[in-house]
Amino acid sequence: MGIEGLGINYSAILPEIILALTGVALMLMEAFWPSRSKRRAGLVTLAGLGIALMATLQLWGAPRQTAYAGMVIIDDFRLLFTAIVIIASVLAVFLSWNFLEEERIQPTAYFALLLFCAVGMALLTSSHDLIMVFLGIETVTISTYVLAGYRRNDLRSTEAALKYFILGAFSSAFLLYGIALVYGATHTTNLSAIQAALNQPLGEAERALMMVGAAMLLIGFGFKVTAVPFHVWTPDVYEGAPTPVTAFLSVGPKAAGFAAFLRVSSLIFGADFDLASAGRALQSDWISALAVMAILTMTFGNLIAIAQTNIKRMLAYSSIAHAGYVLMGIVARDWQAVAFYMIAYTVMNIGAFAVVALIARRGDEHVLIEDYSGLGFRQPTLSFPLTVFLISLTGIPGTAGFVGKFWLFKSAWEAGFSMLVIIAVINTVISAYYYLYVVIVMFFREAKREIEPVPLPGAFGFTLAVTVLGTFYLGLLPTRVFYYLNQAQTAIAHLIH
Amino acid sequence: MLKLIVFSPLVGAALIGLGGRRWSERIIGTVGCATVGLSTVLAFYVFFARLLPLDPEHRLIFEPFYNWIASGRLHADFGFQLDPLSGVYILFVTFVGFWIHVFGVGYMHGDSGYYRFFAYMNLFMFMMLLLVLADNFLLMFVGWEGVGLCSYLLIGHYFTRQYAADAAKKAFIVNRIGDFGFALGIIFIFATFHTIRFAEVMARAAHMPTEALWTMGTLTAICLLLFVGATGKSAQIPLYVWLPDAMAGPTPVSALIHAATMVTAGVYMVARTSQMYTRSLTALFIVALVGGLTAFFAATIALGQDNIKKVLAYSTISQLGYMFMACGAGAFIAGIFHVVTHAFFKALLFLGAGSVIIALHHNEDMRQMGGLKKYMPITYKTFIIAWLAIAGVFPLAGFFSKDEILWRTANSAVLPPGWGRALWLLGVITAILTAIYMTRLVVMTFHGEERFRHGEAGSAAGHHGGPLSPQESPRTMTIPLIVLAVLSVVGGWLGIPEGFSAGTLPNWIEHFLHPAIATVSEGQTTMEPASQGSEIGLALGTLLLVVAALVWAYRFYQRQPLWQPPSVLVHKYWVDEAYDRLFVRPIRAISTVLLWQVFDVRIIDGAVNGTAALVRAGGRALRHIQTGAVRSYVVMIFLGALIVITYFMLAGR
Repeated sequence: MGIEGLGINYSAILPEIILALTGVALMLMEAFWPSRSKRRAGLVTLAGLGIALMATLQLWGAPRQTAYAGMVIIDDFRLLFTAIVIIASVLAVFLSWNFLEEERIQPTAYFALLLFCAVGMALLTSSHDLIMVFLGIETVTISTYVLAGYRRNDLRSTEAALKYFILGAFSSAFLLYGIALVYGATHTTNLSAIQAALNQPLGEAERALMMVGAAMLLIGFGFKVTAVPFHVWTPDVYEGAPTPVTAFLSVGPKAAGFAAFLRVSSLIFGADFDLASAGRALQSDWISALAVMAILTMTFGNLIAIAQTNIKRMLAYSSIAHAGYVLMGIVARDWQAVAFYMIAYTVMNIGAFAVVALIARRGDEHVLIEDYSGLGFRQPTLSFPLTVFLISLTGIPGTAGFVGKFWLFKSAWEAGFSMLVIIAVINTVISAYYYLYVVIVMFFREAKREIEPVPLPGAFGFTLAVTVLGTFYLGLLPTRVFYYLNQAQTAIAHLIH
Repeated sequence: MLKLIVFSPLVGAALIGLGGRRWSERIIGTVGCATVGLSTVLAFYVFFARLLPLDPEHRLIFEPFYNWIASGRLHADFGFQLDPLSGVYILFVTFVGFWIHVFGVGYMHGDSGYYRFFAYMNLFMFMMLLLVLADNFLLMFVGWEGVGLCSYLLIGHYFTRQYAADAAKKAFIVNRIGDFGFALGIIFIFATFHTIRFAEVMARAAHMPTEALWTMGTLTAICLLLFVGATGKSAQIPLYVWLPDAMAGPTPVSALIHAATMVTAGVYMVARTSQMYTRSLTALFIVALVGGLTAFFAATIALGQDNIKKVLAYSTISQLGYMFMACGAGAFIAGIFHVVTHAFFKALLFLGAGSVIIALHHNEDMRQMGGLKKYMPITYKTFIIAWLAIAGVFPLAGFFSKDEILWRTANSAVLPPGWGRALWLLGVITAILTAIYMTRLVVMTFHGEERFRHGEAGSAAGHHGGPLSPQESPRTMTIPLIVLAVLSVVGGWLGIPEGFSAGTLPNWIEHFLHPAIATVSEGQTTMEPASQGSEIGLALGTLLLVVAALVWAYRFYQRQPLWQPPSVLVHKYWVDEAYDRLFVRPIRAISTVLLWQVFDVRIIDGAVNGTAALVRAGGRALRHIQTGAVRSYVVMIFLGALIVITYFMLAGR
């Protein structure tokens, strides 16, 4: 294979290149001109993310193409999810602004890690090969292991990082083993090639390998997108990690994970296989396993969330429940619904965590739901935005969460999974209980102890304004987003069946 | 124009919400009433100048605002639709709403949350008008959830009182259970008709065959799901439990939201989708049955309550039951007619109660009232009118609508044989019970011995001290009472049955609403002229029974106003307790005990709580705890993996 056969195409991974270069530049800058100014590091990071976002958007509408011997794919689906994860990273930078100052953290390394994590996420969204999927996931998780433990002298933070690392390594093994088995069965790791291989009958041994491989893939992805029963790491890590990091973890890496999951699921297990093919037989098993996983994930997430007293832990379980809703979109193979939901979830969840981060203050001291009592009319600039986000997470009409949920439910229903939809709707009823509880504590309870009002720094004010407006924008005027999603739909018809 | 009607209260809510904190009560009240007043004036203008002049069969005005959701086949506009049904609704919603706002100006005087109250009340008006004027199911759902949200905010107005917060939460959760049905219904409708616009859905439903009794067709499924939503919002069995607790909110809220407007949204929805309901005999029967039973059941509980607002709350549930009974019998128009008359007299009853409550410094216990008629003459006189109206005494509003419902139910062509008569009987008994519990309320409050001096007056509010000398309420409160009293008298004249005038006077509301509402299998419910004689007969019979009940109850309670009702009624059949045992506690138990302790190990909290000890014990103990937790997590992942792999292995063979 000559150098041409490798399909080197720098423009295809331009966003990744920009992100990685910015990260490296940050580190070099620190080495040669040391400075503890978070402003410098932050602005460089924002600039890098901004340029990467522009690079992503200017590729929009380009014809579908693969590069690097089919490792990387450019299509609107990839671009959309790359944009989502970059925006999530931008919001995370704003959230971290004050955290870095309060905790006296060296800002350069922190932002560099964030950028490297963004590289991994972008690669995940663009991967067209199981090896690339693995590389992307590892790049993301290694950065996030460190981010989760960033408050080094805090027991909870280091413990969270350690647990995350051990369990993450454990689940990566499953994923890697799954990839190996799939390779054994089909002699390729390229997604399109796997699809082609599955479109004909497989031998007895290959079929067995493929079956176990599929199971392993499901386990590996299940871990990354916090699906029950592979969610066990989530509450501890979300609770222990510094709140800005938790906010980022719950949207960015998750969206990237779902993007890869969706692509793998649609290409390998969702194609229109011939009747006698191996893929045909595998398809229904895969879909029903996913559906069961979706039910377990949303139900367990919501039920356990009810009993939580720590708001970060409550939002962690809520995040698990929302992963369950998104899994419905993968079951229904409606990538548009998944994409919209991830956008909506990013906006409202970052917003919610922004308020939580502000109230928690230095060292995450005030993270009990009880600490929110009496907040309602004392600090309306915090309580009203949080109410909006919680209402949106519940799925009340007029907000982003409603449009997202409605779309997911509608697709699942149309795809014939009405039982799944009924269970999901019951789950939204249950979820109202714990989201509302926070609102009640804020507005209807007297403060248990006197907590002086929290100042609202500019970066947070900006984040809250953007996320509140975004929540209503997506809930009331989603047409423009739909327009782009529909545009993308025609461009990536190969994912749709 | 419709846009203005809907958005005017929203502007008011925004103004008050943003600036109200610094404004005087006078400005807040003026802004709140003026924006709602503008809606009212416009609603009347649109109704009389735009809708009425149209040809009766084509009274339908669309007003798109913007394209809300468009994706694939799913199109939902933020668009409005005015037809006779929504026309009737906007008239009474804005009108009653406006006068309740005026009443609120006086009632809330001195309340620390004055601006919040008006901001939420205005927001409520916006959501309610959105619900009624929406041209598709999804937008209606926005209003539907929106009114629920405002109701929740307003029930919890006195948020320093624990029971108010609990009541607010209960209302919200129970409504969410109902909304679960509504949401599924909408998805089902879209999957079936590929559209969610009312006009298109109804046009397509009109071509579908009628589904016989006890067959589970598509329409039956949709109707039953929607009806689950209606039982939540309109407080019917089994989801009625939130409404009595909702009385923890300020009294104008009870009058506006929990009596006159929001709770009738369920009836509106059923009438709006009448094309579907008339094609499902099962759904109709269930609606009628639930309505009839709720009417009777709630009326009995009303007999046993001592809190003046609780009596009125159960009375509302009972009257809503009548409305559903009518819808289920195929007489949607009679149901809507009762919605309108009920809005007048029930709002009046609540406002009258509010006037009394203010005079007694927030005491709501009827056992500590009595003899108020000489202190509060206007409240008393208007209350008497409302009392006669709800009891159904000729020629007040309640008489005509209730009579229409009973007569139509008895002669229903869509209920299984015999059931029309059975439900009619239940309705008549309920009418008698209504007369009794309302008489009890009037006597205990306004007549007899003055008991308010002995009681612990003001115990609820706490901050009013000193001896009590009740006074008539200020003019902002009494004028709305008088306006509503007039309507409680004449409101029923909109629908005088043609049999009463031997056909010379047309039944206006019937003719007006007819094009907007589906009729059961064309011609089946239109009664023969001969049976119009029987309508007068039935009406007279019921009237006689009601009057007898009024007289008997008056004498009985005059003699012993504090007569102790049976314990089962006082305790509301222990339904709240049963729900708590059956649903609330098990779910919480599952969450806390099983899942929380089995799946959510919570080592972190233990570690943090014992930080000091751990630091002393050194890293060894810490490491032990950490690895312990991780080990159990690994075991869980491993077990999960085992299940998944086994599944795929077995499936692959």
